[in-house]
Parts: sequence; C-alpha cells; structure tokens
Amino acid sequence: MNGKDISNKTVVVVLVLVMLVSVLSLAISMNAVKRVGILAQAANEAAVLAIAKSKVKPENTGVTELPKPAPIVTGTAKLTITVVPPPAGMQ
Amino acid sequence: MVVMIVTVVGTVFSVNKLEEFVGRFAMATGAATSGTGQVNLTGATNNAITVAGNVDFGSGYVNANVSTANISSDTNFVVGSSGLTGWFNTTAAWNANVSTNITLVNTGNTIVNLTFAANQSVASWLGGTGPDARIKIVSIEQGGTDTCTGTLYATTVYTGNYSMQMNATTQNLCTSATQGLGMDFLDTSDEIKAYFNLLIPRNVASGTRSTTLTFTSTANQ
Repeated sequence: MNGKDISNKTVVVVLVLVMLVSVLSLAISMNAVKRVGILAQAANEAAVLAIAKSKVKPENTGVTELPKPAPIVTGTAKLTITVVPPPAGMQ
Repeated sequence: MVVMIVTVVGTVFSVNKLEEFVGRFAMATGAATSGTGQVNLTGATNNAITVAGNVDFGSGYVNANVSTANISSDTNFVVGSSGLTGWFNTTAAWNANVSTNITLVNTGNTIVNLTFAANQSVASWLGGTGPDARIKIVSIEQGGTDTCTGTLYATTVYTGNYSMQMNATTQNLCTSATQGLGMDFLDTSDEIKAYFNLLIPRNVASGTRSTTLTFTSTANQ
C-alpha cells in the first residue's frame, strides 16, 4: 500500500479525528486544572483553620484578682506640753 | 494546518489558566495571616498615709484660781474651769489663736481603715489628779468632700466636742467593717485633720511632757 492508495476523503477523516482528539484533550486538561485549584483552596483553608485553632487558648489567662496591698502602714506624731512653776505670788 | 492551529491555541489557553492558578494560590502555605494577642494589665494596690505636724502647746502653768486648765489646739474650742481656760501661756511657741493640728493624708490608691493609739496613758503622760486628753477629727476636706465614707468615731466638725479620749489602746478614727468603706484616697477627699484638747490639773509636776501618737492605716478594699 502506498500514498496513492489513500483517498483524499480518508485524509480528511483522519484530520478531523485528530482535531477532535486534540480538543477533547484540551477540555480534559482544563477540567483537571480547575479541580486542582479547588483542592488547593480547600487544603489551604483547612490548614489555616488548623493553625488558628492550635494557637488559640480558650481559657481566661487575664488577671482576675488584684494583688493584696501592703496590709498595714503607720505614721507617728507627737504632742508636747511644758508645765512651768507659776510665779511665787500665783501659787 | 488546522490541527496545528487548534493545538497551539489550546496550549496557550492551558498555560493561561495555569498562570491564573499560580497567581491565586501562590500564598497557599497554610500560615494564618492574622491572629490575636493578649495584654495583661496589673493594677498594684498601694496602702500609704502621711502624718504631718506635731502639736506643741508650748509652756505655761495652771492658774491658781482653778483646779484644772482646759486648753485646746482648736481655736474655736476654748473652755476652761469657771469659764476660763485656766492656762497661762508663758511662751510664744503656742498661741491659742492659732489652730494647730496633725494632718493625715491617704496618699495611696486604696481605701483604708484609720486607727490610732498613744504610747502611754494620759495619767502617765500628764500626771496630776484627773488629767484628760481628747482628740477630734475633721474629715471634710476644705473645698472637697467627706474623706470618711465609713464610720467616723470622733466628731467631724470644728465646733464639735472632743468626744474621744486618748489612751494607749488602739481606737478607731475612720473605719468600717465593710470593704470599700473607710478613709478615701481621692484627691478631693483624702485628708483628715486631728485636733487635741487637754485637761491639765493644777497639781501637775513641772516639766516637758510628750506623748507619741501612732496612726495606722489598714487597706480595706
């Protein structure tokens, strides 16, 4: 069999088939890319949520009671009076 | 030819989509891009008072016509035996026309219970027959409000009586059993003035006599 045995009609059919296969391949490729994107986004959100949960501590770690003050403080003052003998005539 | 064109166009289209993917998920590291922090604020409580001034009545003697002399550091309270003070002042150190007091200020940041005690009894301090020493306090700060939000055990006005006798045991001045009441610490209501009244018998021995008063603040908040 040589090239002359292949009719033009046959060539056209083969080319059309190749075109269909190419287009179909392209569609499959695009669909795969889209799925990869969706999966990547879901994985990213799950990872962010997991990290956030691991960092948040739900317990109240703030100060709930004031420290006790110094219990007692003192200060002093003095009262003074001086008594002198009255004059001789006043006694 | 047509096959080549379709293939090239398809390739360009796929690459373009892949570029969008890279741009969109270039930061897909899983790291949180925001978070929360914690701030701890600790308010330290400070119990502090100042005691300013000493009362010196100067020197003098009891007049012969009275059995006791009654002198006061409060200019608005001068009562003596037979309507006289009975006290003859011999020094300029104490002037009956000048009010002398001890000023107590809550300089901390907490309400306190305020008490006081002398270091000895009045009989031990003054001697003689029937001596007496009393204290009164003024808790309403000039231009301010009442410093004592608890129970004021001595009188609170200048013209009031000297109702509390001094002695060597601890006595309440401004206290409360309820937390949050007592001597306040706000700038307009953190001051108490203490005035003193003495009853001096004529048979008191000569000499300079001093007694020490200790004022104590205990946090009540």
